[in-house]
Amino acid sequence: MRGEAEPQDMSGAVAKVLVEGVSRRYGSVTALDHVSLEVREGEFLTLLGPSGSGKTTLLMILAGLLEPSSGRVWIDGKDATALPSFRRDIGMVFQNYALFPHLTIFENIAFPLRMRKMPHPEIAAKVAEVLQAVELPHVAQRLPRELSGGQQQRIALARCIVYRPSIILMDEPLGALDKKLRDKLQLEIKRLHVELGITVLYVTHDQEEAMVLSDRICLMNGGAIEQLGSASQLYFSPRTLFSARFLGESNVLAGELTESGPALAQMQAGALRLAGRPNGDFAPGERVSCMVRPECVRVLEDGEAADNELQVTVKDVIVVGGTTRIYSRVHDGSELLCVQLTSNAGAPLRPGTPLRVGWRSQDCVLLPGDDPVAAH
Amino acid sequence: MSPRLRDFRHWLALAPVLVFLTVLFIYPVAQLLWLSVWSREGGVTSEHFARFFHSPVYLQVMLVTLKIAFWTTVLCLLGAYPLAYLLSTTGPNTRNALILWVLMPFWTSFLVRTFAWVVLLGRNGAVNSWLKSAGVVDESLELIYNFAGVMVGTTHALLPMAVLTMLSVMQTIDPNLMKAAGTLGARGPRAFFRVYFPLSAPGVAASGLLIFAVTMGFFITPILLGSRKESMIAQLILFQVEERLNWHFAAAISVVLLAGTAVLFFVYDRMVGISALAGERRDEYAPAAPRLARIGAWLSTNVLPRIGDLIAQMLDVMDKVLPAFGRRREARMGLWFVSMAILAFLVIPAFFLIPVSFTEGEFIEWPPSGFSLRWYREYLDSPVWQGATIRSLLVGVATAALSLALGIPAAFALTRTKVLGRSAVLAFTVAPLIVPHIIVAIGLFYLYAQLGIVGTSFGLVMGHTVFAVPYVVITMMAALKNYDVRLDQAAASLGATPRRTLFRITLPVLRAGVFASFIFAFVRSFDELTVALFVSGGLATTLPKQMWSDALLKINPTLAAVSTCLLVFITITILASEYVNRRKFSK
Repeated sequence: MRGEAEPQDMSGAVAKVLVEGVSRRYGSVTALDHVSLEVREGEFLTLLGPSGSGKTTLLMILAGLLEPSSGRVWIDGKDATALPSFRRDIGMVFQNYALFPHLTIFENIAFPLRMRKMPHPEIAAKVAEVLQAVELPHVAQRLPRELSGGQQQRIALARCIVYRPSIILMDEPLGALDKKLRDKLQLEIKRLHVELGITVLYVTHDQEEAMVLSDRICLMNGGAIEQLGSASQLYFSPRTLFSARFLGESNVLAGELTESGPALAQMQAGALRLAGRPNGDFAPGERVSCMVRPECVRVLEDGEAADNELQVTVKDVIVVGGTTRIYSRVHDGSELLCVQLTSNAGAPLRPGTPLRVGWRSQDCVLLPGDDPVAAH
Repeated sequence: MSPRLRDFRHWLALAPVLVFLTVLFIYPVAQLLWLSVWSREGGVTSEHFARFFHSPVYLQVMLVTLKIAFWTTVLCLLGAYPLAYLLSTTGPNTRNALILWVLMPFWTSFLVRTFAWVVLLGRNGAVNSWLKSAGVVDESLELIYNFAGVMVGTTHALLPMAVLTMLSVMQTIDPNLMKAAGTLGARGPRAFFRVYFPLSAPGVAASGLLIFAVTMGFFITPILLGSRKESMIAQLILFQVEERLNWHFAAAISVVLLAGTAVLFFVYDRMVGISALAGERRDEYAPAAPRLARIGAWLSTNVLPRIGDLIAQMLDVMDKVLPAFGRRREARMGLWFVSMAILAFLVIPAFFLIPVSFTEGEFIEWPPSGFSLRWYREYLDSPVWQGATIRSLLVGVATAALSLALGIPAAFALTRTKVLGRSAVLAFTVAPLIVPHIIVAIGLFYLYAQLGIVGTSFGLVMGHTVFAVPYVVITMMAALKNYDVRLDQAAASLGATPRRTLFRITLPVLRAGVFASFIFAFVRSFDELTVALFVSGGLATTLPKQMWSDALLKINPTLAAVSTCLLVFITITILASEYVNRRKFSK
């Protein structure tokens, strides 16, 4: 689908949406602090972050529902900072759907078309078509409150795509639904995105949802962008401890850098020597943390060697269906989680058993800082 | 739109109501304050106050006023608590149905309700006639035209307000708290007095203060249902203006009344905040009045639970004697019984006017003799009554329209922004509800006399709007608070301009609130007597004023006929609005 969008992009590097140093302050509180962001044509970009990280504020500014205190917003290469919402070519799906309670489903979906003064027969055709697309052709004459949450969600989506805006903004649109429905609608949103080739900006605090849907994820924290990249970039090469901890599970061992290098660096964590990919330019002596994903930690057989090895004591073993989680303690007291595929072979591990574990140096990243907060 | 520009636009929305109230509310009242310290010969003086405080007669009136206010407060609180408790603990459907009944007297004209009590409790009234025919008494009892009569009238008038004030606090009490208290070992009554009652105490205090303050400004009830001994302070003002034309002294008495009210509302403001009148809760972290807050906290942690335990212990003892007592089902039934009795007190009296209006006789008596429509003919054929009715309708519609025009933009500005001084603006907007009406009325009278618009419908509409606008602001703010701003944002994102959003989304979704505001404002004006008493004169009289003039001579069957017509008219209006709301919103 990116392939389809690319040709239009050839005219030059005009971004679909460009955010330039945008800030938003409420009194003394800074909700958004000098954020810059580029969204490409046809891209599915997710703003991910904990509550209060500024992701909804940023979305509202893009929608023109909130003015930035400073900075500029460009849409299709034109300055849209002062453009009111109704003059931007955008669609928005709200957290609680914001269906108009006094209008029927038909009228709700027809609303944007009426605002664009489309002739009647055309409206009827368009609404019918879009209701078909969200698989709810029979609800046109009902009122929003007569539909289930999932149905309302689809209608909100239908109301948004019926006038083919070139950008759709979604503010936690699946937040109020149960897990199963959420999974189903995620795939539906992804399908619509591919079919229509629209640029989508999606806000969520659910990392899994972000990974399922997005081309790129923009991780936000404290009103600023923490990291921007594809799901796998964020997962395997987090730039900060916050990124490492927010996406997936992580083991973090704090220490001091001993030897720096472009591809591989060494660090000392207590009595341990660890090697990993440095994420940044570190000088020897700097405080750093080694982050390794639990599924990259292996239990070493006798005689087996690994780039990074350490001795741990098993604390607890939990079988979660296909995977087994081994919680263990390193001699200095920090904790280490190892996730393996569940296997029936061998004697089960018991708490108190000493264990040798290890991982490859390219599976772990050295990150700046040594925030002592436990990773899990 | 820059934030500053938006601020400016919100002030622009507030400006009309602020200017209006400044000219027609603040200025007239301030003029009275000025008059009270101005000697007739010119120069500042304290002679008017000295005259008031040195006369045992006036001091006696003041004592009577306080006594009536006190006992009205006590009776209202006792009557309102069980009803409010029932309403807050019952399901939403039952609650809505019951609230309609609680509000019924609130909608019914003040005068009509007072007449109803005369029919019910007068010398030839229903109660006396039953007592005599049952052989309980030989001579008619004096049930009204005394202290008890005034009590009945004031309590009946203010009970709904007490219920609603308490209810607003009780509805914020988490019902799980009582369940939690149960799981922690507190039985029904103990849990109630240890947990629920202390939590509801702020509501009781708030409604107590409100009732006390409002009663102090009463004068219609004591005139119609009391004797000379029950003269209240507002009657003194009326007398000085109407009979003595002594504006300075009337102003001084007004200041005394205003000061008393101000003290009560100051305490009220410290406790719950004036904006609570507009259904707003004070920010819990606001460090307002630490001393009062501390007293409140001390009362609710030390005194109230003790009282609760004491009552619970008494109930424990009674439990042994009377095992059925204190069981949930029986307690609930008892609550329903008491509440229904209170509701009956609120609702039933008005219906006694209906049979009386069809009497053939010359007087109001029970049972009415025969059946005729002569009193209706009397009402409908009389040019005076006709004129008064039409004028009241027109003035009511004009007042409602003006109040909406002033109040709706203000409500939007007050709900949607955090402009500087927002709570001060809100307090200012609802202030006409606090200041005794008679003070505003004579203030307006004085102003209108200077402008030469006494007796004009224009003046009447302006005066009524002073009292109707706060209701519109409060009602619209409540409606707006439940309004999801995302609907507007959605409309904007879908391409609707602000104007189209307002007319196609916002106002249609809020139409129940707009409609309710209109009805509220209309009924306030249609039923308004105090301003009309001074401002509408001669031939340009309104319906309540005509009823009042008639009633001062004698409460006669024509009044019963007019009242019945009013009852039917108001009931149809209210039921129609209720029907519209429910059909549209709870399908």
